[in-house]
Formats: sequence, structure tokens, C-alpha cells
Amino acid sequence: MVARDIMTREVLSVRPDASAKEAAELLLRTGRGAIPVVSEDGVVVGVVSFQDLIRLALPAYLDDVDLSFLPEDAGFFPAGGGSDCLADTPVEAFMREGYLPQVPQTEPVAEIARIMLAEQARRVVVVEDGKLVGIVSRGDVVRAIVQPAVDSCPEKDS
Amino acid sequence: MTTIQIVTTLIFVGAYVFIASEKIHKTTVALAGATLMLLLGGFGVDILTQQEALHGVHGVAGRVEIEGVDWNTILLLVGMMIIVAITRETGIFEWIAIRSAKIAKGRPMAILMIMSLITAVLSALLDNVTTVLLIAPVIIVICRQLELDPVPFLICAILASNIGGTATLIGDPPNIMIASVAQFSFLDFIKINGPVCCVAFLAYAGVVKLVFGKRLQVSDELRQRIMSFDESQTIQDKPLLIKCGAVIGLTMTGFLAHGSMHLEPATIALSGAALLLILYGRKPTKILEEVEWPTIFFFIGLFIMVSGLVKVGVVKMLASGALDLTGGETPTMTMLILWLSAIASGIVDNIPFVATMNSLVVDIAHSEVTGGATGLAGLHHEKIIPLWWALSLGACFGGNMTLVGASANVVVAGIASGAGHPISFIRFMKYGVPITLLTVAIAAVYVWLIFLR
Repeated sequence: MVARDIMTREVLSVRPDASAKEAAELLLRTGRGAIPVVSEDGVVVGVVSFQDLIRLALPAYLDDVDLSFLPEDAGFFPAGGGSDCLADTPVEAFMREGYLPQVPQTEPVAEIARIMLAEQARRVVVVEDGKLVGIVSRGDVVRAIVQPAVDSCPEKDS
Repeated sequence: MTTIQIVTTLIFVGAYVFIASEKIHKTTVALAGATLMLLLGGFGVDILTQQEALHGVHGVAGRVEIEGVDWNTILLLVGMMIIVAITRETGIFEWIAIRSAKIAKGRPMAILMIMSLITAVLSALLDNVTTVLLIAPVIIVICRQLELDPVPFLICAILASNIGGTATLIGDPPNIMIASVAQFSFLDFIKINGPVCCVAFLAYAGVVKLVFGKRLQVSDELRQRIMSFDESQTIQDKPLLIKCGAVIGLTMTGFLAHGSMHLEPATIALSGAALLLILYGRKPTKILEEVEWPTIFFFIGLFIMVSGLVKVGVVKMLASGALDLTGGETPTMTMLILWLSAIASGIVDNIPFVATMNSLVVDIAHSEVTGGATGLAGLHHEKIIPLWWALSLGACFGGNMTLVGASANVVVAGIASGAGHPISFIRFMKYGVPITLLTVAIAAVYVWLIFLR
């Protein structure tokens, strides 16, 4: 069994020039944790997730600061100050580049499973000539694991 | 110069150029340079053996021929880093920063002054990098609430940190290195550098007041935002806080007593770290990950390279050059070292500079200047003592000259740009150069008053 057999072909994606608001709405509406960022010519250039949107509002310089002293009406501390324009920030400014592992259509599922475990990847993108053709989620791999075709245990007597 | 001296000098100067260019990480450069010196031994170019590099060479009558890797400096740094890494978890540093902003009643000028004082004191007790790493993000949060540009506040944190760090043996890496080679105690530093740092800090505060006096004004409404911070929320693990407080207190007492107890500072710091790890009770893995290993290995690489320079006799040549230039007169040498260290620290990393100068002063201490005195008699000869303090004050105060003058500066610059408030090189120098000239001039007068008069 290879990537082609278990991948989802209709992949939701955003363009690098989409706004943070558009990306957030897509994530919220579809209930997905992350969406690949795909350029006009179909190349995967990165990924955008809830975590990236939260990071946009709270840059890394505050990672080690305990912020529990803030009053109730305090907001976020995005880079540069003004938080009004956060929603307009283009996706390419805060997406993670090259973060999604890429595999060919012929990648064995075992290797996909290994990549997911070793790199703690929730999903891998399937590419053909550098262009996005599908996506394999952890759910797709799990579905393959419990399918009789792979796991051919003998039927137990009950 | 012999071929081997030329090769060694080329490796060292080459490494210096790469470090200054920032094209390759300085730790990588230092390790590459150090191992190159050792490796060449396998090809008939005997600069330095691994034995000499790691353990030094000790001659007769306690005379150190080659220092080698200075484990006292390395382990003192590691020990303090462990203590701070655990203490950070308590949230005490956020508490101190917020508390001081509230004591200032949210008034920007008062915040600037109290933050400067806190930064200076913490920098004296911890290292500068850790201090600014803790203070700078909170400063940005406070400035955002006050709708003020955080850049002047961040620049002031850098300046105060470098001035405060000068005061103690553990405050700034150059002091740790000087103390280790010159065998000065924690108390020596407090007695000699303490007073001049207080004067320098007051002068700094005066300049800040003069420059920002009327400019920093905010409305009562914005000040109220600061007053609504609740710093008590940041202290989440009170028992741990008490443990950290007790261990830091013990460690500081140990530092004060280490000279009379004949214990090295690294022993005190490591003991404090071990005790706190026991009281902390959890696995040390995560805490040890927070030790700044790149800094530690940078030091190791540099110590090896400088040992190479000493071994092949380049440092001896520099020392006799310096003696010829100054006629071996202590006042001339003192002032030359003070200003040279200040300027050099502003332009290049002061750690390799101090490591080299240390060896150079050791050479002068055992030369005809002291009548060839050996061991401590040479290092603490009345003609040599002022040189050490000039090196310390010049290298530490000089760190304020440019944005790359000291590690703390680089760290704050990184935080500032990550927060979207980049500090430009020129903007920093507008404050840094005058403060450096002022504080080094104060140091010059001070050193003259107590040693050269």
C-alpha cells in the first residue's frame, strides 16, 4: 500500500497572499488543524495552522515570560505593536516554510507512518513534479492500519 | 617570526575575522580554530598538544606557563546558569520587574530609573545576558501598555546591565576570566570595581535624566494600566522560590568567603547548583538543556586558541612590544590597557580580547618589570595590579560602545527585532558611545587615584 492509495485528493489550501483572517476562517469552518499554503503554480510553499495564528499574536520573545500579571483587559503583544492590522497580515508572513514533509505518490505507508512518528508530523503532502496532488493525514494512516488488507489477523472464535 | 608562529597567528586572526563578520556562528569558528591548532600536530606542525590545551603547563614555583582551558571560568559559568535556570521557573524575575514599575507609579522616567537600577543589580549578581533576557521582554510589555517606544528603554537596559555587571567577579565574563588568571577574589572585585561602578551608574542616571527628562510623559489613564498589573500571580511555586532564595543567599555568602577559605569561585557556584538541583528534586535534564552550551564551547575553543598563541611565543612577542612601547612604565601601560580594552570591546567580541590580554599581562608580570617575580608575587606585584583592573574596567565598560560590544547587547537587539522594535546600530551608538567615554573616563580617574597617584 502506498501514498496514492490512502491520500485525500481534494486538498483545501490557501494562497501565500491570503490574509490571516481568510486562513483563520478556513481553519475554523473546516475544523482542520492545518492547511497547506500553495502558490499559484501548485507548489507547496508552507503550512498554516492555529499555532501559527497564535504565534502571530504572541511572538517568540515572550516565550519565557510569565504573563499571568496582566489585567483582564489586556490583549496580545504582536510584533510591532498595533493589533488592528493583525487580521490583514498575509499568510506568507507567518506561515511555516517547508514544515510539511513531502512524499511521492509511490511512498510506502510504512515510511509515511515512520515520518509521522519521527517528525511528529500530523500530515504529509503528496507531490508529483513538485506539485500538490494529495494529503495524507494521521487518520488516513490509522484507517489503513485497521483495514483487513493490511492487518490480516485470523478471525477469533468468540 | 618563525613559520609556526605565523601559522598560529593566521589561525587566530582568521578566527577573529570570521567571528567579527558573523557569517559563521562564533562557537563554530572557535571550535574549528582550536581543533585546527591541535590537528596540525599530526602533520608535523607542533603548535599545541591536547594535553597542554586541556590541562595547561605548570612550571616551577607555581608559575603557569600555559593556562590551557580555564575550567574555573567554564564551571563557574555553568554553575550560575543552572542556578538561574531553576530560579527562572519561580517567576520571581517577572515579579521584580512588575513590582518596580508599580513602585514607579507607572511614571516612565521613574520606571526607566528603577528598571536601570534593578538591571544593574541583577547583572552584578547574575550574568548580564540572563538579566536582560528576563528584563527586556517585560520592558516591552510595559512600554506597549504605556504606548511608548520601547527602544530607549531597551538601550538603557543594555547600558545599565554592562555597568552593573562590571561590579562583581561573576557579573561579566571578562571579570570571571581575569579573576581566574590573576587570582582575585569576589571581595577584591567588590572592593575595587564596586565603588567605581556606583559612580559610573550615577553618571549614567544623570545623563539619562538629562536626555529624557521632559520627553517621557504619559496620561494618568495609561499609568493606571500599569497599576492594574497583578505581579503576585507570577509566583506560582512558593516553596521553590524559598529554596532558590536560600541557595542564592548561601552561594553569595560562599563567594564572599571563597578567598579566605581558599576555594575557587567555580567550586562555590557548582556547589550551589548541586544543592539547588537536590532541593529542586526533579530530573536535571531540562535544566541542563538551558545551560548556554554555545557560550561554553565558545570559551573552550578560545582558551585553546589563546594557549596556542602563548605556546608558540606570539604573546611573549606582543608583551615585549608593549613593554618597548610604554617603556615598562605602569601608569602608561595601565592607561593604554584601559582605553585599548574599551575600544577593542566595542568593536570586536571582548572575550577573545580578554583571553589574549590575560596571557599578555601574565607575561609582563613575570618579566623584568617585576624583576622576574614568579607565581602570585608577579601577578600581584604593585606594578601589575593596576593593569588587571584597567583590563576589567575597560573591557566591561567598553561593551557599551556598540550594539555588538557585549553579549547582552546582541541578546537585547534580538529580542527587540523579534518584537518588531529593531534597535539600529547608529541609534544605539548615539547613547552607547557617550556613556562609554564617560564611564571609561571615570574609570581612568579612579584607577589613577587609587593605584597610580
